[in-house]
Amino acid sequence: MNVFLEKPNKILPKILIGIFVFVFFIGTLNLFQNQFKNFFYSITQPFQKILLRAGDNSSNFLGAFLKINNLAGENEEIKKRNQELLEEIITLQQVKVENQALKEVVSGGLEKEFKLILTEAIGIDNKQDFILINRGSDDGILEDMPVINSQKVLFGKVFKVYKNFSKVMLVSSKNSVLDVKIQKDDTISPIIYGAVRGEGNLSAILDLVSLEREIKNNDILITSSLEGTFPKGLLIGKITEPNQNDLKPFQTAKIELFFNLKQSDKLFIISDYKIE
Amino acid sequence: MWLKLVVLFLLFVFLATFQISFLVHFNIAGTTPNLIFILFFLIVFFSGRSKSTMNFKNIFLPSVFAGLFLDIFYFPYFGLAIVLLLVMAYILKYVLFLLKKTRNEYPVVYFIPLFVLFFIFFNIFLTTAMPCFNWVFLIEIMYNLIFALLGFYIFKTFKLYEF
Repeated sequence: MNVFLEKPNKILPKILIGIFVFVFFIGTLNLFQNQFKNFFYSITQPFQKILLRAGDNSSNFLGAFLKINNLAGENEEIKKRNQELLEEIITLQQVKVENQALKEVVSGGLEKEFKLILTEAIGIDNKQDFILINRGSDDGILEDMPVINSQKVLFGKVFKVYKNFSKVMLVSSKNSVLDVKIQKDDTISPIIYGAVRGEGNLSAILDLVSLEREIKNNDILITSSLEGTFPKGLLIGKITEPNQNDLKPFQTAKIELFFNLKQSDKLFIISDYKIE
Repeated sequence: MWLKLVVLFLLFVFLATFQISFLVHFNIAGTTPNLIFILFFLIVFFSGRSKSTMNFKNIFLPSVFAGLFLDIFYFPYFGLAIVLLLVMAYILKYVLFLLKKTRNEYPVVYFIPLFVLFFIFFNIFLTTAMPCFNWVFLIEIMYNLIFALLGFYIFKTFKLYEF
């Protein structure tokens, strides 16, 4: 007599049903993932806004409190920095004319150049360098739209669009690579192109700069519009440590990104711009 | 039981919100504590020696909740974090079973290495880019471990063994 027929295993069907329910659950979540995520973001948005501001204020307060013990040292540092800045002012006056191009970039009226949609960050994922903004497909947002602040500093581009929210991939994301132009102090130098590659943890490096070109500290990086995603002239960062190695085919450099997550309460999505 | 699970669900909602809004301003070298993962680990760790094999309310549902919120706030698709946390939960349960502690003792010497190991495991599988084993990742581990230890002593002090 077959004992398996008389005493059927009761656990196996339960496990199979459990797996089926689980797969069905995951499948349903993925099928309606935009709606689910939009729903959760909608529910948590008011709290996220409050906590984001509270975190900003708390970190500022804590930062100031921690610095009290270091005031004397900081004073010396400021004095030294002041002298450096005085020297820098003199240098800047000398190259004022040459910097005209950069000035135009910075001082140009945003609204005249781009069609903008005002937004604000309500959540930050600094593990993967994404921010969540409170504008979505209902507001006409599309993937790949650039996100900047009022000083034309590039934050990143829209990565994923939900009904009322969007995820923005910061330029520091490991998945982010963008073509840049290196803004030199003088206008007679040949144009230098490179690529800014995200390194994660809110940092990025400059790469793919020809070995024949000279780059130095404080050179400004702006978008070149070669790839067609970003309009040209958006500020990205400045070079802090050039690294020229003749064994490598290209120059690289450490850079300091201009975007500041503490100033992410007023951002703009560029919904349209003139392609030159 | 169900009331506790609702509370746990809401706790995950709060921690997820807190993590992506408040804590980002306290990042060290761009890293912040992953409170969702820490709570998940604490729950599984402290329920790791119960006899039930499936342990639906102590392991399965907390893992699904934690994975769900990680998927909502961090990942493009649902399922990846849920499945990974479920696998990790049952591996952790098995590891604790192998340690053969019969009494309700939860020594910190087990907790620290297991947390670090599972945190690395979690990051290897769930980050879109492979984590670099550099000093930033080391800082991230230490930063998370501090919060995890804080949670560990809260769990021990208030005897939150069986959720």
